[in-house]
Amino acid sequence: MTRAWRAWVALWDRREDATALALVRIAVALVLLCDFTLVWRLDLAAALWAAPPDGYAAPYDGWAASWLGRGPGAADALWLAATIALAAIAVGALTPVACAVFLLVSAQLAHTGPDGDRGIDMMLRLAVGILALSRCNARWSVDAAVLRRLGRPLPREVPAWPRYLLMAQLVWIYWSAGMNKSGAEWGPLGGFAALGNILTDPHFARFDPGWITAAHPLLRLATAATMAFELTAPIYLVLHHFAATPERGGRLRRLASRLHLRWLWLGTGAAFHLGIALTMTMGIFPWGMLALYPALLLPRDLRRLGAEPSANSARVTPRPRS
Amino acid sequence: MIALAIAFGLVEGCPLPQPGYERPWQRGYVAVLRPVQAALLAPVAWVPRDLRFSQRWALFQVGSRERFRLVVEGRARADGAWTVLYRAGDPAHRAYAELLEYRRVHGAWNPTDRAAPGYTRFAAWLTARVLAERPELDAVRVSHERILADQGEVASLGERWFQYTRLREAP
Repeated sequence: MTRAWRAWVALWDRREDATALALVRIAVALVLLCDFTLVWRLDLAAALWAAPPDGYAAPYDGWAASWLGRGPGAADALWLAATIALAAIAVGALTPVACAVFLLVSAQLAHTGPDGDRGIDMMLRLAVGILALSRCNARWSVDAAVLRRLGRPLPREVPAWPRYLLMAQLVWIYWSAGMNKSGAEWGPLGGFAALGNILTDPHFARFDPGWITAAHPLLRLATAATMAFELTAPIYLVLHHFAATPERGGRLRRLASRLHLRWLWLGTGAAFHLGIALTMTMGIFPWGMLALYPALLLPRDLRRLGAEPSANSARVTPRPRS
Repeated sequence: MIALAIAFGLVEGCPLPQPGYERPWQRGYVAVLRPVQAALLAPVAWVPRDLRFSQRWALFQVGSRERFRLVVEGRARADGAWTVLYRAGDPAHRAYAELLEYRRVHGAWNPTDRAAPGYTRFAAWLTARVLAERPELDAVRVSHERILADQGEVASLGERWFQYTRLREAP
């Protein structure tokens, strides 16, 4: 038990290059900024977050309503606060503060406009909450540049636990979504017909659904693949561990490496979301999910992709004990 | 701390069916598990409540053929005839399409087997806006047409659900 506990503590005590967290920070902020820009372009802030008759917000009395009221001005103020916070997160300026501001404002917007706060908004709010506690601003940020100028550079290696939490969160989202798919059409009893039906739905289909009849067998396969992908998501944590510890050997580890199972799962997920972006009108959902994918990558993966500065800084190390 | 956060997340995300959606064979164990879940989460209940978090995730929980299609219609002052202004997936009726199809607005009117919680407030706002922008109309109604979406074919079932009608007020 003690050994297991020590291993658990050592796992969460690891340090690694900040690149993955920085990529997640920038991608999440940019996805949300695009969405908030669209709110402004469609002139929807009052509609979404102001009380009737100016909008259709829910009757919620939080701190925002106490300070700002519930009219169009309050809605605009909350929109502006969220947008400024997101811009700050994207460029990495006062990052922990910006993350905290966005978290609190976003929660208020969710309370006043609950129907407009979709699953992807909740997921990205969770991600920003984790980023607030991380050193995601140690790279590609105003914070890092300013502190370097002041002679107090941020360390190249940062705690890895926020990336692990983001990875665990993404895996859980997939598995939970798979477990909560209760309709028979997602399984053999319903003929794996779910995707074909959803892509015929006029609310979600991007194109005329005429093509679906010809693609029916392929869509059945895609439905089955979706369920397999979601329900096997927890296995990615094992594959990630295998890839992070190649020196330990073992038949399963070698097999997973030879078959590139980790990349197969990642590629399936990316294809899943790109397919949604291409064929369905789901807003920021596919992009928001993909924004978290850097958290699934090991430091050496990013080095191979050219995102990391050098081999030394990509080393996963335990935190030195004083 | 991290272990506690993960543990609470797993408890909160336990895939129990929503209240009122339990199947007969689930009612027994759900009746036991739900109060246990609530008791375990009591110390941190404020986190998901105030920050609007949950670890229960659903994306297209059901993929059934029976679905709905949003229709917005206006009644002309001149002859009292109803005209379709917007119908989902219909290229010939696209008024307010960009607004209605934006994801946050979509969440206010997209039904499952019941209307979205804020649907009435949304319908009240939309119908008021349409009447304000179209003086030629004396009534606007929002409804959901029941359809069968079956592998590329969409067929109306001839039913209108969740209908909301607003009449222009007399001056």
